[in-house]
Amino acid sequence: MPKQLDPALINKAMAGDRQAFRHVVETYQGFLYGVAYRYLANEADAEDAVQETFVKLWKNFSKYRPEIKLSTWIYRILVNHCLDQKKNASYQRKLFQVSFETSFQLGSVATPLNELTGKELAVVHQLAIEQLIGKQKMIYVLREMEDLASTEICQLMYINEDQVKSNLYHARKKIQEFIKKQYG
Amino acid sequence: MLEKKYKSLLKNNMANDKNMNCQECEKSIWMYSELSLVERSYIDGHLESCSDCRKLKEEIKTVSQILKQATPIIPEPKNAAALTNRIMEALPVKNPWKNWVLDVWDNMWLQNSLRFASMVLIVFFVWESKPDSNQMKRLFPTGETVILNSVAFIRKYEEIRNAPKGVTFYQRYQKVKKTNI
Repeated sequence: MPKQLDPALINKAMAGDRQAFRHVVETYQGFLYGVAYRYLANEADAEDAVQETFVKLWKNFSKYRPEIKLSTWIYRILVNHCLDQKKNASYQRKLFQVSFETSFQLGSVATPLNELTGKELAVVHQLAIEQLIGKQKMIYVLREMEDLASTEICQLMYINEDQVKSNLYHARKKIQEFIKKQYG
Repeated sequence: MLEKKYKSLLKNNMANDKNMNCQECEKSIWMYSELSLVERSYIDGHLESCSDCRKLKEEIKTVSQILKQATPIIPEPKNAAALTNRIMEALPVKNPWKNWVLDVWDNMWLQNSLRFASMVLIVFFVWESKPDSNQMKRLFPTGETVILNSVAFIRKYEEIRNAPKGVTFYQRYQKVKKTNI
């Protein structure tokens, strides 16, 4: 998680100061891009998601309450946007094409898992993540890739800890099954 | 959730129970990193005595360890400055009046006051529409409003019908009206 911003700067941004808001964008955009890219698996979509998140933040900044961390609030906007994006039909078609191309490139080489290099393993892991859907995928990305605690995920996604654990269990199982099937 | 159950089982020295449900244990193996110390010690007890579950745990551990060797990819936008500019350009110009109206509308105190005022108005109208309400009697004299007091209307209709004969119904009505005055 990025560093917390000065409350005075946040207040300025809330009041509509564009320069202060620029600071907010610069602080959080890299961090948001990371989550969006891991979830959407596409550079252009990730950039669009980050842009959309900040536009929504700008429009609704007056509703922000300092009791919640700003990073948590922004994260929540992004998570909702990403989950909505995945329901989009055109996005599903594009995703199928991308996954198909990636699996074609990787699938042609039948190298055992333990002989793959670090970079190849990272691609395999990303490809396995692509097998997950919706909340399950988001929870896996936040827990395993972003290293957020279960309690933080609960706050971000408005779900309880049992739901987080249940989704994580199914996600881990699916990922291992996929890897075993492809490289086992 | 499971902690209470595991604690009591540990207390009763049942951790090494061979008959522990392997299906239940399987879920805990997948979620091993999320378990508390009590839960882990209970699962470890079962693993010591169950070779199938032990094998599953080893398999999961091996794949996880291999995946941990993956080069950590920290995705970053190709051109961060360009993305920042793009975001700043996409921001709509704020209309102070619109924001003020939205802020006022979002005010919970105002919303609750409006809710209360509408409830008071509803109660007032229901109360005032009662047939025996004095104000309604003043506004709509009995018998002249069918909707408000149909019984009184029928009574008045009977009165007009039984009134001394006139040429038209209206003339009879006028006679009744005159006698009432």
